[in-house]
Amino acid sequence: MLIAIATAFVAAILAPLLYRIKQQLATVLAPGVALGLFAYFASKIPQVTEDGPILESHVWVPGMNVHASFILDGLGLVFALLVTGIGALIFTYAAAYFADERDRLGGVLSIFLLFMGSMLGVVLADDAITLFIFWELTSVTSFFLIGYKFYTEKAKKSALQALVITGAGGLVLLVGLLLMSHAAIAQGMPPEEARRISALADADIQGHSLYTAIFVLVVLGAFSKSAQMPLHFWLPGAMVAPTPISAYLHSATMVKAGTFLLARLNPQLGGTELWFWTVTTVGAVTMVVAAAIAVFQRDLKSVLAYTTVSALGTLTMLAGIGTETAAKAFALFLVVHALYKAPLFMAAGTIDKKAGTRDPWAIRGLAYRMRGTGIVIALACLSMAGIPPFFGFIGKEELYATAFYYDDLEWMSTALAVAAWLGAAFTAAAALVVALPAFSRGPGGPDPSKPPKEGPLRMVAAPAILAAAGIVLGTLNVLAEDLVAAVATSIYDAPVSVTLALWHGLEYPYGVMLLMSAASLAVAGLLYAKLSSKPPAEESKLGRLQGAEVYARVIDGIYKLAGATARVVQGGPLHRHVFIVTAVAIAAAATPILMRWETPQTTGTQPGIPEIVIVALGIASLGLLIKAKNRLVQTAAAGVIGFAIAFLFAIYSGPDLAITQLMVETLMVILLVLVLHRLPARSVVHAAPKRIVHGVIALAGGALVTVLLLLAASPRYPRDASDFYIAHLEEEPELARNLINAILENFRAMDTLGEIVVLAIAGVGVTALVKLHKLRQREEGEQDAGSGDDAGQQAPREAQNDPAARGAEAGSEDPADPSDPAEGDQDEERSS
Amino acid sequence: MTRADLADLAPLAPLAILAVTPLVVTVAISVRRHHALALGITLAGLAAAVAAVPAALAAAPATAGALVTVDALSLSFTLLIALGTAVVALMSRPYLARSERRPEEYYVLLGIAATGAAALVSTEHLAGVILAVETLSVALFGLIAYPRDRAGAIEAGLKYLIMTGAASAVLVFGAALLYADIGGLTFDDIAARASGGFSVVGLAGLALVIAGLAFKLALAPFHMWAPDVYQGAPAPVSALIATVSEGAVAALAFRMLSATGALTEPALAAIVAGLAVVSMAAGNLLALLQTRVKRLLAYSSVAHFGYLLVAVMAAGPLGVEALLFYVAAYFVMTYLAFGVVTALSGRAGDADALDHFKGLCWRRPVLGIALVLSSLSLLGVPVTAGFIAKLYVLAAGASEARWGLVVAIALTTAISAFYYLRLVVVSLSRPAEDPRGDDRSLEAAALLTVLVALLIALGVAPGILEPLATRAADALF
Repeated sequence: MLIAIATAFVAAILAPLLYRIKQQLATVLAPGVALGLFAYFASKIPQVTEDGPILESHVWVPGMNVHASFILDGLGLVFALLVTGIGALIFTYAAAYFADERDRLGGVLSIFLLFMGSMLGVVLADDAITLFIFWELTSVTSFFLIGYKFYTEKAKKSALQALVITGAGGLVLLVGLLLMSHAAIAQGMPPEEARRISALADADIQGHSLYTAIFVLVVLGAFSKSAQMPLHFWLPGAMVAPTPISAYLHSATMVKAGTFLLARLNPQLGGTELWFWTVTTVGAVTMVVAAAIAVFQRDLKSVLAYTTVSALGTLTMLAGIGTETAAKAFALFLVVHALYKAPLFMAAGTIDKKAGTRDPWAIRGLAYRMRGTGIVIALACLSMAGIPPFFGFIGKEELYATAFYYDDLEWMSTALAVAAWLGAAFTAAAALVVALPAFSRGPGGPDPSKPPKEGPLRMVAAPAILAAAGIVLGTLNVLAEDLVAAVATSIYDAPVSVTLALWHGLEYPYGVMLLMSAASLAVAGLLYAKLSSKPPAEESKLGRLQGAEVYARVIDGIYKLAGATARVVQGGPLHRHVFIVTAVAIAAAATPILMRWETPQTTGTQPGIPEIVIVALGIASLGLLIKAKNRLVQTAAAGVIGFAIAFLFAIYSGPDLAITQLMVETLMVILLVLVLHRLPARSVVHAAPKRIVHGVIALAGGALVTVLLLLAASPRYPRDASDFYIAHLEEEPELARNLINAILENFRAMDTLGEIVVLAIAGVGVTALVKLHKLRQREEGEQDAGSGDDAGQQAPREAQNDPAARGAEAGSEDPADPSDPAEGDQDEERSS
Repeated sequence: MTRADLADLAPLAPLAILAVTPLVVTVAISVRRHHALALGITLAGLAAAVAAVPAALAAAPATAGALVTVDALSLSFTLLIALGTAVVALMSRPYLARSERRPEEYYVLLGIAATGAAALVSTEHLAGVILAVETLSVALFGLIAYPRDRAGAIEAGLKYLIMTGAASAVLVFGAALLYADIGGLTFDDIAARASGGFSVVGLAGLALVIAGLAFKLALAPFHMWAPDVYQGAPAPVSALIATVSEGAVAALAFRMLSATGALTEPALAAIVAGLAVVSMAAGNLLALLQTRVKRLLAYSSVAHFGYLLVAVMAAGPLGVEALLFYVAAYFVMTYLAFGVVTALSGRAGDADALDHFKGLCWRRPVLGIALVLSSLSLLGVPVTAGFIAKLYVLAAGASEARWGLVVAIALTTAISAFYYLRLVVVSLSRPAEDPRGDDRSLEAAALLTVLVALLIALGVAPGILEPLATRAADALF
């Protein structure tokens, strides 16, 4: 099976290359591969129907023990046949459909093949991660197909919307599947086995405490993919894709993946009250409401899209009921729907191409000018309306039978029958809306001066084959029995035997069912007659239900959140960045200290009067520094603090250090005055709340460093380092006499050299900054003069586009902003 | 020296070759200034370093003094660093040829950066970490500001200098506090202390060391430099920062956290997990608003290193594999993205606005496909390397039962779809007119094609990294 999937992927890579060499080759390759795979799967029918499922497994990611496991059972086989068979016909059709967009056909065929491979992967996967991968791949390939016209806003939006809904659904599904394995392992299933989805049927997932969570996750994934209400809105939107794509993805294959999943997991998760009520109700509601909406659409593709949603609802409902009859009905309806819906889409595409309209009420009499397409529509719509002897009739009978044979709850049986009848009636009405105007004569037809011509042979033959299959299988229904039985067996998880027939006699409930069929057709006829005299308004509001708006709100919310984040984190100038970073670094270091508080131990020396006076002086200058508005005063105050520290060094027997500190302070003050002299007088004064926050951060930083130093100095910590230096200082008289000087000049002379180098580099950097500023000023001057220099122009444009850039620009360009040089100074101080 | 002595040098050979290469280039430039020559020597040196890895791997593990430890993990990353630098060098040639009059010294700086990165992954000593980080950073300052006539580049270089200075200060202060607590700076010293429980000073020191590394990794909220620097730097240099520089720091962070047992401390584990979640959220949310591709990629890298942190936290064999795979995959996809930006950049400046990329798939199919695939891979779409990488990270998070992180990855990945797909949509939309002066050389197309093949190969057959990953895991655990 891996080979089959790989074949599709390899062909997908080859197709565009071949297309470049010779177009004919690619247009033959794609359907050829699909047909070959169809034959391959068809050859497996006897084996699967007689001997049961075929299993296959490969080690894939050894590091994570991920296996690529596959299973070919009845359910997977029928899906594989539909995917490849319909694929072969649609690829043929597409080659003719895209004939006037030759440059894109190679790419489209390639993505079609990719999609086919992914879809095969979904229906054959037997491993959670394998399933997830292919599931997401179908979403991604469909993104590219829906967005075929990427230059239109609508296509972009629809493609993205479809991908977000189905892709996110896939993520949710993955979690659900992994939890399922987890639950099975918790119940004692060996991990090797719990990895296989098919093996999980033996576990009692329904009885596990995580069942509700698993159920919600899996069902959300399935509903999103199969467009169940209220997550259905992406599917009609996806109809912006060219028709062959809609025909393949959004009717026959991809959207069925969700219902496939529900059927596949019926043995593992089904049979509970939760499953029955949720899945059945959602399915039934979708079936009826979507079919009703379909009737009132003014676009053939929309009619077909909503009836597809409705059909998916039917399948979901059947998966929810989960009885033996429901399993049979699921298998039948699946094939029935694919066989009539795909040709209808193709026919709609041909009409669109040739007549230039998709309004069902504007193509009166078209069937007489496009005979082939007309016949296709007639055959497919007869099956859709459920008229004997078409396959659709058998499908509808089995649907009714499901309701009648549901005997757990009597009123539920009636409710299901009513829902099924309503669904069938609206679907039949929709079939009439699609077919009858084309066959009726009268006003409102296409422009008579330009009679539309029939499409090329390939565009007629491809849908015709499928539509003909509908009547062949309807009359020779014995052919389908084995396969339907195999599908039902997979779903029901017990052997199911199937006998199909067009005529069951008149005894209960078959007589009632025939009456219901007749009644539904009568209602459909009445509805059509009413619409025919007064077609619905162009813009139907019915389709826009809540789902789309919730989606829009969520997306809007995410963008708002992003904007808020940008304002807080990225909005401000550089000093805002420094502020945030400092705060976080302090918090990081303070967290462990606060979590395990230990009181620092001091040496116990009592401070004398001089120290107290000096410290008081320092604190007073600090107050002045904060309060002062004038930069020179601030500088002087900072200098006083430095001198105070120098005196403290002197008192605590560090005269060398005191001298060093005095020199550095003096130089610093001179330097600062020199720099400040060059800066404009304007000083940034923040509002009071901001100043308080800044103050708190500064105090926290100071407190942190104080506590850390006190802790590090407390006797608890080893003093091997200082012992080493003291011992050497005593032994070697050629060293400097002061320990700190000795460390700087003798022990770590290289480090000191390094520091000097760093300082020098920083100096160069500051020079560059100043020069850059001058350079800019000159550039701006030139620009004002009208020279229009490129680099100068760029800045304002950037600032407009990006709030973050705006902040950054402001930070570095504003010469009055003290944070740049100040930040640099701090660094040097800290690292030295 | 005897033959046996020479064999002892085998484990050091890759690092030594990387260190010698920029020196040789320097000498060569002084003899003859020639662009292709400088590039050729650099590539030859990198190739020799790559070729020396198997022999080194056979002789590993080995130590050289206290500062250098060579084992399978360090060699795996040295391999990645050498290959990554080679890709950057190849990417830079046409770029520099278009925009620089004197491109030769660029390769000297490139070689020094590679040496610093390789030294960073080959040490188990905090002093070694500081030395290597500085070697790497100093080279990067020069590289970022290499186009001296571009104000944006100089500004970016200066910003990086200042921010890295701050980061180094924090790192060194943390190391000093650790030394005060422990009296040693090797990871073994720290681990010995960890088993007995850190003192608060040691813990605060470790927290600051982690903060310093977070700066280098551009993890939120220490990421502010990233967008400005990525945008201002020449595109190949941005790629170098995102891959070689940050990848090496990530490997070092992994080694440090797992070898020291630092994460057994709940406070530190909380800090690292917090950094991961905040980076994923902030990176992805901020990327959403970008209209400039280089800034967008900067935020994307913030998010990706947030994801990667989940693997870093998962010590053990799975963590090593996740780390190695993620970094390798991230290298490939980042080179693809920046490779496209580089190829589209002309003399006037780097291609940055989204408009530059409009209709790329139709105008320049190779570049377009490269950009689309790299975006999809960055998003984590199946069949690309990025998907397996994300799966690894998820598995690593799940194996440690860090469910909060797993949920954060899933949620932020969903958000990231919007901006990665915007790149896809833009390159698929209706073609704009062709901007002049971009790179139409076969060279760029060939490089991108090879990278695309690698991206798919890693996505389809992830087992190819398995032998290396197993060796690396065996070396540590």
